[in-house]
Amino acid sequence: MRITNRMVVNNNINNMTDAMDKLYDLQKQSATHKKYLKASDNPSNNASVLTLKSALQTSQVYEATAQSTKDWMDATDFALQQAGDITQRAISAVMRGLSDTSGADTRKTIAEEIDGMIKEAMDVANTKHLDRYIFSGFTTNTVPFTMGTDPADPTKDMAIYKTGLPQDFQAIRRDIGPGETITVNIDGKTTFEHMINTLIKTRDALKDNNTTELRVQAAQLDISLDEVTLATTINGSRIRALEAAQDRISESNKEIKALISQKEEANMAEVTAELANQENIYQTVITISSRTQSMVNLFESLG
Amino acid sequence: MSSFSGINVALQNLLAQQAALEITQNNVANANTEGYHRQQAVMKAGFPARSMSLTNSAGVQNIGTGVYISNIKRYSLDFYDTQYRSQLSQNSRYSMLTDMLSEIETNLADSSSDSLTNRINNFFAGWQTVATDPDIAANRQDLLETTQTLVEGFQNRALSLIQIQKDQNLAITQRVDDVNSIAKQLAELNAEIGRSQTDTSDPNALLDERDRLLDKLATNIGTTVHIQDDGQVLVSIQGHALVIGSRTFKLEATPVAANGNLVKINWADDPDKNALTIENGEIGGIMYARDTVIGDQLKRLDNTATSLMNRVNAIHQSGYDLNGNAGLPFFVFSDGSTNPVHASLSISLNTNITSYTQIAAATQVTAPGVGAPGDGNNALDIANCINTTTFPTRVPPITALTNAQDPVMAAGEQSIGHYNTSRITQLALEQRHAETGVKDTKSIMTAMDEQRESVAGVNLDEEAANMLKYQRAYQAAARLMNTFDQMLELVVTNLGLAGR
Repeated sequence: MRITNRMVVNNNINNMTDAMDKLYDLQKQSATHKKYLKASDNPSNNASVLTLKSALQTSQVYEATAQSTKDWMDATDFALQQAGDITQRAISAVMRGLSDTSGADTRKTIAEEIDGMIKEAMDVANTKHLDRYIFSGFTTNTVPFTMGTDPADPTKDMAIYKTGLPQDFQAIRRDIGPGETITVNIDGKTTFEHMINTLIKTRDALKDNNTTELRVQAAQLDISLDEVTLATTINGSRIRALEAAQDRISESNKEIKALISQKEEANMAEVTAELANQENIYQTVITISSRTQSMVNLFESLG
Repeated sequence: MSSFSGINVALQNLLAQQAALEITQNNVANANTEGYHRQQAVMKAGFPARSMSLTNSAGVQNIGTGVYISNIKRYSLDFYDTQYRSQLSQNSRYSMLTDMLSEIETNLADSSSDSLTNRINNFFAGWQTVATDPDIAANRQDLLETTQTLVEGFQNRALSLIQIQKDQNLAITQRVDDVNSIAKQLAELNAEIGRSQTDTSDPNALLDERDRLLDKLATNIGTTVHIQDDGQVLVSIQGHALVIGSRTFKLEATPVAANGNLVKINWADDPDKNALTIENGEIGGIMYARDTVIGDQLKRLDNTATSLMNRVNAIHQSGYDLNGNAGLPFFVFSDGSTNPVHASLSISLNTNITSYTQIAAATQVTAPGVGAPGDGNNALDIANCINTTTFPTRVPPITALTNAQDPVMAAGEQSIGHYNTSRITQLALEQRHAETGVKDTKSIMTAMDEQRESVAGVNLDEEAANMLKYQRAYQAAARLMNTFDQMLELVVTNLGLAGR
């Protein structure tokens, strides 16, 4: 093939451009730590990165959901512990009241004590977490218990659950993973209604110095305690399940992040080595180009 | 043959070598001229004449009359020219396409942290957050903000794509003007080349100019070039002549009202103004990017917007808000129509949803007219929309949602997230294809150009050698003339004094 001067020059320019191109690419990779900057650099890889990122975002919301659910359950646990505590204190107070050494006056004092407990129990049953009533089913904006009067005997007090609203248990559920649902709340009606109303009846029996009725209510208080304990146990096992799920979610988040970085991030050792190599190539190309272009031609050697 | 014929031969020789030297000089001068084809003086031996001095018994002998330049040869190979131009056309198409796709990629910003994908993800994550704590007002308020961001994301992208399409009107019109002007110059050159063929002068410079114009034409538009025996070119585009002899036919860029006033290309003499589909050259690249790539991206954006709107609306309307009312359609088309030209441009948050309380996160009411603020099941169903192709059975309108109303489903049972990813991948693949096209055609083009250059280019060493060759021959001719002169001097001056 006949080689002309322009071919030599063009070839030099092409080689320099190619070497510069590769250098530029590696420089970008090392500056951004990314394998590629545009989707078109690696379309299929980019598609899986997008899917992974979307999965990560979903998973991160699950993580947040699990945390806020945990907070709610911790608040529930605290409330139930208090409720159990109150019931137990009430039971021992009633025991004192039932003692033969106690007279009507002592019982009145104990009735005062129980009255305080009723107020405490009302507060506990109406516990708010982040301004939401946690024992009120879906109607988290409605106070669950209000003090009213017994419809059968208007002279008597009675705690009333969600006045005018459906009484059945509304389970609040949260998704803490794809297709993985957990019930968050405890039925306020079964847990507290009986307990508070038994406390009220106990107080009234103590006030009236009615030991027969007091005995009946003492047995009822045991039932109340059982209910509160049962709720505490259920909530506790839910918390354990949730903690396991939290561990799993954070583990899977880590895995997704690792996958994304594997697909997206440049191997810096590799890039640095390639960069050094490409620098050498570029230098060589430049040297060769300068030599071929400055070669003496025949015109100059002619006398 | 006269006594002076020797001097004549020497003169012819001098003139021929001088001309050859001038051609060499011209080659050296144009060593770097784009489109220059090297030239060579073709020397021929002069027509023999009868020599009186060689007459003998056998008769009169013929003797050569020296040298003359028969023509100036221009080195070129049409085959490589044709190949080169065809690759150049394709290369220009892909280069233009790569540039435009980069612009589209930049405008869609699918790789940035502000991408539409992120906005879609955020939107659905917003629903998930509402589902987690449906009774926290901040979550609901956030969702409304996120929705606004999503809607703007759709609108911005649709707007910038439409703007890029419009911008191409100028680019196309300029190139069509270019093509017409090159065609006119080619026709003029045809006329001159035709004339020079008849008076047998060498139109080499004209041919160089013609080839240069043909290269320039090839960057603009893919053409078929036929070089006739008389040196004139016949240029046609898709079977319709652009240049025949000294005549040209004009191309026209005509705005099409039905297509948002985007221009089409047609022949000016076509009464029906039928649109031409240009494949190659920069015009081909622009047309492909404008109509096929942007068209497809816009369609996919519209499909995503429409399906997102349909699905979210159907589920939202099946739920109840904080006030115990059934959910309103979450999205509406801002122009009030049900089937706008670009759904991605018209999608917006229902203006009747003025408060976060109207987000229907619950699947039930506590009692008629009383909301269930702790219930986030409806919000959860909406959040799941991004990744599922199935819908909750309790949502009655979804079953009535046919594929025609849900273009994403119609595109093959896809979730919104998947469909959006496939749109991005599609663009990336187009870009990749164009980049590969640039590289492939460039390597063939370089090879063809080398072949062409190898034949037509100037090698300075060769020219130096030639220069020496002609210089020596010139010197020898001068020496010969000197010799003849001396011979004649002998005859004229020294042969006695008779006649003085």
